[in-house]
Amino acid sequence: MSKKCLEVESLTKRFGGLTALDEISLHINEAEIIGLIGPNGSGKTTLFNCVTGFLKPDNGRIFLREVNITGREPHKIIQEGVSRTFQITRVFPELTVMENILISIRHKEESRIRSIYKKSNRDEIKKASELLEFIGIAELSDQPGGELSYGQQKLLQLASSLMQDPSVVLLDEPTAGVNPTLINKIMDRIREANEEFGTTFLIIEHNMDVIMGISHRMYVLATGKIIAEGNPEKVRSDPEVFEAYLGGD
Amino acid sequence: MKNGMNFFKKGKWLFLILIALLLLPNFLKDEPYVLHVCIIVFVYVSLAQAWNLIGGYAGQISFVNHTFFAIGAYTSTMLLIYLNLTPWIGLFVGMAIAGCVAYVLGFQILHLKGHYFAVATIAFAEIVKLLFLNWRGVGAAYGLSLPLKMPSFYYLMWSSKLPYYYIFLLVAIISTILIYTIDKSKAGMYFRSIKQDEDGAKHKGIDTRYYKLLAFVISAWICALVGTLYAQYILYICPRSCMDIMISTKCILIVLFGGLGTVAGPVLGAVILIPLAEYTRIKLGGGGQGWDYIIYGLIILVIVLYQPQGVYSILRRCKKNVQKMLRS
Amino acid sequence: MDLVYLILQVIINGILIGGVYALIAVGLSLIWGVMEIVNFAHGDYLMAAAFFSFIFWSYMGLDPLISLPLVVVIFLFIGFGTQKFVMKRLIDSPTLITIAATFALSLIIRYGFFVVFKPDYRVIRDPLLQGSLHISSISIPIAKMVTLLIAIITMILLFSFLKYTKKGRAIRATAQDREVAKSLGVNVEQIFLITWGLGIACVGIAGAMLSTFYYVFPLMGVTFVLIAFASVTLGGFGSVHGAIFGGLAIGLIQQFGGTFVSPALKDVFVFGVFILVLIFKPKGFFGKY
Repeated sequence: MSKKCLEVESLTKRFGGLTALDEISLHINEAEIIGLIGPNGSGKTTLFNCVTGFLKPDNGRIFLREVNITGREPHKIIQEGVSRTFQITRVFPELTVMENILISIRHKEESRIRSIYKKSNRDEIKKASELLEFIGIAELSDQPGGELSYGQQKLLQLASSLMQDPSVVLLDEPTAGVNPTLINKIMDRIREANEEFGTTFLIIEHNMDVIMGISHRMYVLATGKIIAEGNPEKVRSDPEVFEAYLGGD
Repeated sequence: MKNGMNFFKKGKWLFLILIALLLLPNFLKDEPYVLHVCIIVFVYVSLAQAWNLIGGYAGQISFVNHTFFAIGAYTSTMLLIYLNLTPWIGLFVGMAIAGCVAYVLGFQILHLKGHYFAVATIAFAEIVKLLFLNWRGVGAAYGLSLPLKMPSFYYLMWSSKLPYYYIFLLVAIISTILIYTIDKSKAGMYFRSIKQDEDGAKHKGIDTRYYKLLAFVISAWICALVGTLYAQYILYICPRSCMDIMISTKCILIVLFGGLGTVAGPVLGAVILIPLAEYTRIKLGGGGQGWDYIIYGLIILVIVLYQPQGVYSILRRCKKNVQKMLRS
Repeated sequence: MDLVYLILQVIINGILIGGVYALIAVGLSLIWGVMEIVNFAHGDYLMAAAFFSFIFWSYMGLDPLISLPLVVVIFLFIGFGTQKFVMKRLIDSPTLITIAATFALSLIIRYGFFVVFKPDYRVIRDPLLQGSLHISSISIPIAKMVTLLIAIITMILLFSFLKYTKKGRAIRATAQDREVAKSLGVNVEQIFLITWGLGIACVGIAGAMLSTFYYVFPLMGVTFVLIAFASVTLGGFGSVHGAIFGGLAIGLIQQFGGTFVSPALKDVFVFGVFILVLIFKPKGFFGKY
């Protein structure tokens, strides 16, 4: 049994009368790629927001490498090694592509007072350049982030999420609104990051072919509950999953 | 190599300007008024840089900078009057108090977004002003006159404007260098990211509250420093002059005019707008009261409607075009 | 017993002045809610309206009460103009840009009047509304009472307009979600125009009525705009009853603080409450529509 990287224990989140997450429990092992699927409104993004601390869960606990991170401030959770990207790209439009990556260093180890006069050091710049090389937009490094195409912004988000050597990366629909060629490119990058650097991923995705192709294991969420779990083949043949998608939408 | 050359060129220009500024008072011996306008320009370069940090970089629209300015002015003046303490110490006490006030206030209201932060700062500034207007201990509405001491470095008092000219020039240069340093630093990058997308910055693991407070406190320090020196120069302070919200407003207008979140913007803005306003006031004589504000209003309206990036971006574009022409 | 009368008097004063504050605040709140713009020039529109009334009185002998409809129409169009020539270009601009724009308008209006009319204080002598109503030892100035009445009528009209007419509903929809309103076929540009018109017309009424019992001078807008900010924040922006609640609350706080603590510090209480509300209840007590 490999080591657990992220563990969620009976997590519950309510909005007024609506229970968005109902006693969710799941775990992700080191160097795994986990797919998280489910119909719209099933609570996938809410789960991400709870893990990163942007929403306070009503109940339950979250462990990152056996450290309880439940209820910590968002920036502290991110600093512990949880990176995240967004469904609709969120790059800083007036920072350059390079700065967009440099900004994602692990802030835990940096002196906040010295940051007033210190520039990014050589190691950080080297690493950021390597990441830009890795996703193939190195030649754009001095352009403002806002001038990139949508697909390039998606790639930039991915690169930026890898900058801090994260324990786990949460990707929210990394391929939504992207053309098929680029989808393949993005997926290749994710797989490569996983194989080469041993990065752990939790991925929300609606494109079934894509997510089935890349995941080691999957969780299926419907109306705030986990209704199925297992490797892609098992999930694909699960009648309940079929039901949730047909009945849900 | 090419970058090095560029820097040398730029450095040479700055060096020439500095020499010119150092020599300028020699030619203004019989023009105390022009010297006074220069001093006011330096005052506003420093204050506008302070505002630029919190507003232009960190994106928090503060209308409370004049309060920090007043705290600096009042602290050193009170210490001078009651304890006969040199303003050189009063200056640091003032900065410390302004920093603490900024920290406590910022801690409470910096989580407010956009307009809300702006109106909260206005409310705080007005409260302080009203309290000072009614507080006998600090001279209430009559204000305080600084006791006249022997002109000396120790008391930061001189009978001529010349030493003040150099002091305010120094402060303007220091605050500009400070902003330049921050602009190039990691913190500068974080400030700009907070301005563009605060939640996004949090998602990068940036402690946005800490950095906003940092910008606010540094901004307050600069204002308080200038406040102390200004009181030493004018020799009279009262709530209506020192705590006039127009001081903060002018800073905002200057920064907007020059270019938000740029190092050169506040300098350009102050150098153009302050003399312009002073000139109109003189030109129109006593009846010209109010015209300077109308001109400010018109200029800002034109800027926000047609050139919200400020004048600095026009200059940059011109430079690019000239370079293109030279190349072809 | 005297204390009871005093308290009653203070409450009445608070409500009377609170009505005016509510009327000023409601226009600000409307524009804030629909456009997401805080109009820093609001107090100066108020001043301008008071000056219009004063001008009608001193040059044409029209009492402010008579010239009120004229002032309202003029300010309706001034509001249209503000949107059409200035604010229209700034939709979706960053907060700082809209603040700077309204501040610029504020400076131009305020000091425009300052240059033309000089900083002097003026009063309208012998207005139609004068004297006071006396009930035992409590006195109620008639001018203020009529002002409150007109404020109430205006609010009712505005409220009904927003609630029951098609355009009013479109305004509320736009305030809630501009994009959704657009997709439902609402002409957002037109809504913005109406919003500015109505908002400025409301402050026009307030200014005209204020001139019947208050000094008219170019810098009078400065305090009123801050009080209007406080009222709007207290009530929650973008709602009529929020503005009414905010205006009345601010009026009462001001009068109580002024009477029982110190008249010079009355606005300290207003701004103090204002900051506390911002810190602890930033959405105000009533949200958007």
